[in-house]
Amino acid sequence: MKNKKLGQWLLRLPVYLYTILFVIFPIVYMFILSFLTKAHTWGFTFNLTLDNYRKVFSSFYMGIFFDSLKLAFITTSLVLLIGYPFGYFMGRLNDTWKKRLLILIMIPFWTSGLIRLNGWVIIFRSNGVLDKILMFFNIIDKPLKLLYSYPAVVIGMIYFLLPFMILAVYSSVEKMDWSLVEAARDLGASKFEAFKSITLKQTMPGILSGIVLTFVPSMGLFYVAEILGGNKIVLISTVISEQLTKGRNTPFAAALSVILMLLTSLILSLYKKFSKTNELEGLF
Amino acid sequence: MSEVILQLKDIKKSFDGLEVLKGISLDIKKGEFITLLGSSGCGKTTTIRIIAGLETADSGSVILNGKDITNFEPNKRDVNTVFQNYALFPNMNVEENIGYGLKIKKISKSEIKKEVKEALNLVQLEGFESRMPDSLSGGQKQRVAIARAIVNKPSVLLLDEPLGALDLVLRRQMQEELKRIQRTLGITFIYITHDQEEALNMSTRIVVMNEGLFEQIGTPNEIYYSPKTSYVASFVGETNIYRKDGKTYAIRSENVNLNNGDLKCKVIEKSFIGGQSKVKYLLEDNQIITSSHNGMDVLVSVGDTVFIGWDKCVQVEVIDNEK
Repeated sequence: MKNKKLGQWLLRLPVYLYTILFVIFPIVYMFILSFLTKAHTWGFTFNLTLDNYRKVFSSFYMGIFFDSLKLAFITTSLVLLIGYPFGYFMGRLNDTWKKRLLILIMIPFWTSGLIRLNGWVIIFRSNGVLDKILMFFNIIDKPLKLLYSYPAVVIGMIYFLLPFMILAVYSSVEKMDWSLVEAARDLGASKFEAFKSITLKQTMPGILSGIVLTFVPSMGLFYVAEILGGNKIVLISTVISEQLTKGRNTPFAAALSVILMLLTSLILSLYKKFSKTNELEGLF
Repeated sequence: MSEVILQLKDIKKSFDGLEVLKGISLDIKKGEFITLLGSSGCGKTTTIRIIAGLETADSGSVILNGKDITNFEPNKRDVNTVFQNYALFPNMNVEENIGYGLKIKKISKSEIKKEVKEALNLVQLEGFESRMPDSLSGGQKQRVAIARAIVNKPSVLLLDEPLGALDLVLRRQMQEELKRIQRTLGITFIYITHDQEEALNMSTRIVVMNEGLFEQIGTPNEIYYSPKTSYVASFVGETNIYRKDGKTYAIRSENVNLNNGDLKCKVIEKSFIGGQSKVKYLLEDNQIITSSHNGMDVLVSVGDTVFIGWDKCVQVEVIDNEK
């Protein structure tokens, strides 16, 4: 009896250890760090201060927060707009085609993200692949200069995050009980009404986890903004990374991160509230 | 009562090259309780899915109230379906479920409330408006599914084995209730079942289906007492198929007399299930006959040699289609 209990405890131990070591500890560490002072040379000193937060709430950094949120919002909306229909129709295909598409979606993950990003640089740069193709077909007559522009960053973000939305929507569509749609149609609902009142509600967990999987990372994909946006587009994650490396101001980076985390949680809880769903496909 | 409400004309349907319906035709009159009876895979569900518009026929036509609706969308047809798995909307409560069809027709909220209440009364679920489908028992879900369909007052109500998932007691009770609801509303019911007792008990006419064809259409009495084929005879009631001189006869087991006839045979099985006993005999030409006796146990044992027989007027000559 005692052995059995011990066994169960040992089985759970890795989960507890992992959570404490890699989730709880870093968050607590970051939280404490955000109230400390930057040392003159390297690291920090244990002087408690609110200066970091005062700096975060200055109009300059708030502006960057706003820009990051705007980009995340645009990215997430577009990803949802493209990813939902994709995931929906994929979920309605027969098994052979489902498997084929799943493989196609997974293949890019076998290559490093940075290499794929540089692929986009080749496509977007002046007189690059895209310009050449468009000029060949006489759609444009001079280079678009897409690289280092806002649209390039948005496209890059969409490219990186679309698979997560597709897979989240796909898995909720796969689980759909289609007899509910038939019942709605039978009761007089047009295709659109049935989609709106039944399918959309039934796939809401997928949509929501797709949004979480898109929105949260899109706040942090600073290298996409750096490589495709040049120095023109500064995101809060870019600032955090620079404070950690060039600025060597870890307490300030911690304060920025704390606010970023709170902001993201707040927005996600709002999503949850408005969509009236408590379950997230494969997440909660 | 004799006005034809629904016509099926030579409907054919194949799935992946497999012919599920091989040309079925039927005229259904207003107020009828029609039962499609057949074993699973005979095409009965496909038939009502075609009537509901959830499936399209390869050829043939469906005519409702004199209008050809063969190519109408399901929402444009004046028929409603009670699904086998209920298909209640999980995110809506009972009132919203039942009111769904009315809401789509843009009927006022107060009117919907009233109609839903009436429908709930009819299925004896008063006061269940705010319950969620998850919190209902199987029988209650079934009643909600029925209420959700009848509240729209369709010309024809399609019921796909609605009682299949219920236990025997509840099923018997729901059979009586469905009959009552059908009488009260006067709506034409097309009912699917594989349970012959259910079919005999509820229907004004029974359609026996076999391998994508209507094998026989008739009143419960006709189907029971004058089966046209050996399939119908053996599917409905407990019937012996007896072959002699190239002819095939159907004889109800309750009409087989023990110790009163000229067929010599051996008792091979005997069972007594309170109130009814059944005896199985092996004839000298290796055919097997069963007799059933009500009320008492019979005084034979397995291995006995006995004589059996039946009145020539109770044997029905049938077309032999399952050798």
